[in-house]
Amino acid sequence: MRVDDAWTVASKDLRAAWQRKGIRYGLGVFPLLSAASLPLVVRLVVTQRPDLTPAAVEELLRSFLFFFMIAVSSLPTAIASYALIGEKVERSLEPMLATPVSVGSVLVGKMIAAVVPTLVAVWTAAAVFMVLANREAAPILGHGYFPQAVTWVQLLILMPAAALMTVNLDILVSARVSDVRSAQQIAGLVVLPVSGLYVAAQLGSLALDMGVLLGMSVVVLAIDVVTLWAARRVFDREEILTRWG
Amino acid sequence: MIETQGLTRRFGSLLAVDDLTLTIPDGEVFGLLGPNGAGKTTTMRMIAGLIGITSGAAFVDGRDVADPRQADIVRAALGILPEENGLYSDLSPRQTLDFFARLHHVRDRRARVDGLLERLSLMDRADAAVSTLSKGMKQRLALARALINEPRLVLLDEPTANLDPAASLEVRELLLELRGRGCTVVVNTHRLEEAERTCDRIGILHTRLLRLLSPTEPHAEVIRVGVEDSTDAVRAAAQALSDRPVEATGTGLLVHLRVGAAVPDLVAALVDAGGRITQVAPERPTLESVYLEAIADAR
Repeated sequence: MRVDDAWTVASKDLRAAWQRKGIRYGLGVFPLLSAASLPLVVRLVVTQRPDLTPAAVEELLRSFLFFFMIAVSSLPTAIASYALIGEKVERSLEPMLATPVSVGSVLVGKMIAAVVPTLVAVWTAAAVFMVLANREAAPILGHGYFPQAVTWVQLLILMPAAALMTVNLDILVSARVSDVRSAQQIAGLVVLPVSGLYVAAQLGSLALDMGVLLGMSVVVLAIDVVTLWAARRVFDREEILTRWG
Repeated sequence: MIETQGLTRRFGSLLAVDDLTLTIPDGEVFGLLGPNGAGKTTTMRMIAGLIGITSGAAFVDGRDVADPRQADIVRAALGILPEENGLYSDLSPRQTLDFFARLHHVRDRRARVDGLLERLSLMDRADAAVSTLSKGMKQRLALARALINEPRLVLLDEPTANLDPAASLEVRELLLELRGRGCTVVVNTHRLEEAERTCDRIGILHTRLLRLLSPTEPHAEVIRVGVEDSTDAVRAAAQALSDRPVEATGTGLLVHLRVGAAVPDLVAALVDAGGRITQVAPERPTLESVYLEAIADAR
């Protein structure tokens, strides 16, 4: 695998993705809307319930930050499905595979193209959220809450691992499906368990503390390893040319 | 040079290519003719090291394409045009060629890209989206992509499919230009006239290699003889030297000379039988007739 080849593939996919309005809006609107609206909810809660304890407000802020996990688990599919199914439909993988580039470089390039913009968008939105939420929660907490150690675990371990998991699942789905919408719908199912965890956190039945987030990270990283192995098996010259499509 | 030895590929129970043994020397334009499903694309993909080989072997410049490392080296010196052009509709021709130049680690990318855009008359639309190009332009772009690494071996799968006559002519001229530069070119096609015009040799494939022909080689075995008053005796004399039933034509006979028989023997035999010869002309069987006969035999 050559890093420069992977980057060449990634930059081509990024350029193609950026020309699609749907992807641009998807990457921009959902994270930034969340970044702007969640602090407003914090303001509403703080002004309506001045009796809330600081611990309850901190729990609320942690669960709101976890909301961005939904974005990070769904947004890579928008790019990855075009990068994979799009190439499958256009039959453009064969000319690329006929160059000396390794299949590993192509695969890593496609992963970079889907994961990097997602993380940039979500991290930017999370940063905006944290700044605004610190300000809105200050009347009760008396200080800014973010960032905590647990925040870094979520941003730097759990989010990239979840984005990678989504891309790996996209690759597996792409091998069996021939249209972008179907791929997005199937791969979109990964959002369900993440949403479930978010709801559980909101209902207070799941504490998003360091132990839980590290545990989640280990589980998602383990899924990454398994799905990456499976994706590598599916994303093979022979497999693509004789079985895909 | 391309060399295949007993090259065979199965897909489950389907035998796609069977025991193909072939040598294509450097600088030759070789046509693979065959109906859909004859194994042409599979053969090309095996030669390019893109898919595995069930049995037998394929070598390009002595490198075994079944060995992944050697296949990588083969692909670096190879240009391929798949049956479907496989272009990125969102990119421009310039971006497309630049992308493939990067994958091939071409030095002086810009000059190479501009040179090909110019050579294939795409410069005017170099920065337009591929989706807005005509079919002919797309095919020219796909050809330019196949040539971006200045390959010594070019594999073209149906290069003139869906092209109008003028665009087809341009492609044929390009093939001849490649041959002039010493490139080895393999062309998959089912356009007989295209194969005849551009190929040094032609292999008729229908899972197995049925015939190997050279369109430029003289075929003297079929003789059209003009005979006045063709009697039974004259026909019998002709039949004695023919390995197929002699066909009566409006002005004479069509004789498939037996191996070992020569035109003077035929003329002498006909004269001895009382025939008055007005014309003797060797008749080349057309590629179409050879092709159809080979395919019919295979079925």
